[in-house]
Amino acid sequence: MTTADVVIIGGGIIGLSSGYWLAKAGAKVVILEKGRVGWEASSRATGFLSLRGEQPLESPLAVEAERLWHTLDAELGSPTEWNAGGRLWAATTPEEWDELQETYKLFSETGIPFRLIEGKEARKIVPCLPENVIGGIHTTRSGHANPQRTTQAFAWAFVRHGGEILENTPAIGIVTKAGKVAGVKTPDLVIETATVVNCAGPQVGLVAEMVGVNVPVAAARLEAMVTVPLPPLFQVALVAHGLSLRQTRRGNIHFNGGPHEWIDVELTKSPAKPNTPIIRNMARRLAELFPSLANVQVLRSWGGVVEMTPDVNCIIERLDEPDGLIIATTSGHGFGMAPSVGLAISELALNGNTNLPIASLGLARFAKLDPMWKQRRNWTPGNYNT
Amino acid sequence: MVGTMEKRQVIVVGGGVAGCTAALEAARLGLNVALVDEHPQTLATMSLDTPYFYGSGLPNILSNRSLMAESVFGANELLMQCVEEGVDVYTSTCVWGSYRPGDNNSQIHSGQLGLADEKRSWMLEYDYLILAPGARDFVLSFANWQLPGVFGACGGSALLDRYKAFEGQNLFILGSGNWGLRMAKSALEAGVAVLGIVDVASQIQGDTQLATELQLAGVKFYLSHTIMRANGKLKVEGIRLVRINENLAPIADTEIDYSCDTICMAYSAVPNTELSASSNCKISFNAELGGWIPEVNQDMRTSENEVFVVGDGAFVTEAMVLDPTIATRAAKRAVEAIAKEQGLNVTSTTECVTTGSSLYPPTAWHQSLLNSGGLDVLVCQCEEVTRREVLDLTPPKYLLPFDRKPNGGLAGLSISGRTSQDLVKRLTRVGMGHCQGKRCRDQTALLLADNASGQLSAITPGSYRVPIRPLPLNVLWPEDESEQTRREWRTWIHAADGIPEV
Repeated sequence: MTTADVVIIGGGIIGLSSGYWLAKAGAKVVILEKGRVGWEASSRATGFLSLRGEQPLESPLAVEAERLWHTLDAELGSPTEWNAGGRLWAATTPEEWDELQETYKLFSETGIPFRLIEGKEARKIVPCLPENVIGGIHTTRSGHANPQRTTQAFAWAFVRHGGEILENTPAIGIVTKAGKVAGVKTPDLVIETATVVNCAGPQVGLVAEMVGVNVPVAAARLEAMVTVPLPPLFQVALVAHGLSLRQTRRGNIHFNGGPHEWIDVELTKSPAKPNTPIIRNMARRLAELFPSLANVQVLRSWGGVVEMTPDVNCIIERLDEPDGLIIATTSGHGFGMAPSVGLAISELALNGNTNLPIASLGLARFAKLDPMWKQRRNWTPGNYNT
Repeated sequence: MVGTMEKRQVIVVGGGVAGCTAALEAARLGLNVALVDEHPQTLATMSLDTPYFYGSGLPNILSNRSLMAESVFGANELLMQCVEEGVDVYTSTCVWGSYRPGDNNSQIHSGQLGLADEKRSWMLEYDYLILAPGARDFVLSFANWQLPGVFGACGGSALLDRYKAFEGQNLFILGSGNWGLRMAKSALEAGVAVLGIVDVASQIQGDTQLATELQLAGVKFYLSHTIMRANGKLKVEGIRLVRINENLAPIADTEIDYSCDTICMAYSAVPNTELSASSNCKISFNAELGGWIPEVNQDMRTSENEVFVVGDGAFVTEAMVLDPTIATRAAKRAVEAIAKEQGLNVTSTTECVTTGSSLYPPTAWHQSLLNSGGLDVLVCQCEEVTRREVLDLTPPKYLLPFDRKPNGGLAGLSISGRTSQDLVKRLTRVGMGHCQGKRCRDQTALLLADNASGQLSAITPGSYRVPIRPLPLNVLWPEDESEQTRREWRTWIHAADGIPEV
């Protein structure tokens, strides 16, 4: 029989970050991962930290993440390629420009310095943008990093502080006694623990179901691509012309966007993540956005799976029923938020509460959710977000 | 997402002996068939060492497109026959992607290939796919292997026999198996001096008769030898060989420098599996037949019912290098299986061979090169990663020196991590570059195997990513993008949709 102070279900970046802060505080932590650590969305992400201007509900938690990002390399002891280069949303059509101005009203609620700028200024920030850029929203805050290196940096640091990772080990049951968490079952063993963190990404709902808790999420498959390395062109995390893109430290342009497919996931199996000919349309978008780079070669494409909550905000909560279970999903934008989300989870696990701003991110906000919400929105397997 | 798409009953990929035979057989049986071949390639594509290891010394004559077309078509009688007999032939056209129905892929209802020429790309649907992509060079590095004048046997043969654009005059060949011997024979026929064939083994590895023929023609064999380095500054000017003992270690004071202008790596070859892997075909490890190869049945049918693999793309054996009928019989057999399924009257059933032995993996070469060259030799030319940096998991060169501290090496990763070529690639960038891992993946797998149990079968090989040929954005893009696609495009779930109501 094995025991742990905390068992974390899910070895993505949220599980690894939570595990890191817990192990650093001296807790005995086991991370259960059905496949391999950091192998799903965590290492396939675009690599943005978003300050969530468009969703002020979780903006304060993102600001906490930003604070931690600035010293994360030193904290973890490995390079994450953090680039505090800010962020730019650029509009290339009048419709997009109208939308951005509308969105800006939400941005300005956050207290974070977002500015509406003209096309000319946008092109100073990203010189390869075309003449037809009308304007944008810019902030010098936030940034981006290398998802593969960051995820592994958390894994290394977690293990260095005595954490244990069990790969190819799905959680197949949560044991409760008298309304309290008592352990987690894997195919081979039961780990006794009073505290369980469910941060199983797209599988978060399936894991919660094992103890009768409803966590409303829908899983989606997305596609991403990179070009060959180029000389330094821009520093910001850029959202424009239907793409999210950044230039990596190495120089590749990493981009994604476009139709994504709602899918079903299984508790113990890694979901299929095929690419489709949609990558051709993505390539076209990038060439249209950066006409001077239309001859640049594409090197790779890949797919990834993320989960979305009904309001697209994170869910982070320590439940009373069963006592000792913490639920965490970051709704497809967990990479950038991982440092503060993990810290919040570690405090919830150790102290039962946290001063980090998660009070409005509980499950209660979905109390009146229509049980058929996915069907109503066509967020059901086989449908696209079009 | 694409407006219109053409369809063929059968698409054959690869215009070598196996592919042309399959296309001809299919056409003769009345099937509607297209054959796609990437040759003659552009100099720009060849300079990415795709699909073969051509090396950095490609001659300028390759940019003369009409001359190259004349050479390549002139050297391929079977391909000319395909054109004459009604096969829809696409040359200078690469297949960059293969999409098949499968889980989490509701938009793909039938198999389709992504094709591209120099100017544009398009999709082509099929009922049956016959892959005949051939083999590629298994390369192992040594000091100065990035110099012009170093190439692989597949690349060298292509330049000699097909492109007639081989500029070397004095050649050393590394490997006395049939790939090396065949290369030597081609070179002699083209008037190139073959100064020596080197092997770490104490005996010639390839066909005895062919080896005798070469010896009679004056070719010297340097057995129980390995290469220490290519000599030269701007191009190959010579080769340094050394005798090795029974432990594959160099024997002191036996180094000798020879002059030469070209060095051909013919340690072994492996099937090109990018397309079978991208087509969802089950790939498994088989050391006798060339490593990670698609599983096929007696009809050369893969785990995907509509996909067949024939020729060197299915597996490689020493016998196949000299006997093209092994590939042609496999091609015929595959077409017969398709024809029968289509209700055509097929009288015969061709017997084909699916067994044999190969020189894969060339572990003795690998050990001797480690012993003679040490760890500070480049494995990955694109991203400049050395053997030591692979084993130490050193962060890549573009980071600042204080960020490049090794982090516990491979031992600091989990068991599944340290045997994963993809994870090691992510952390060191070995295999991340523009050759898409063709030059480094085999050596990296051997290094990871040395570090693990010594068994290559314990390694999780690197995945293949579409496009399997690097393509410019404005070639990969669809010319026929639909209005609907443009209208319904979303950046991300929250951006254009606003916050959904709960």
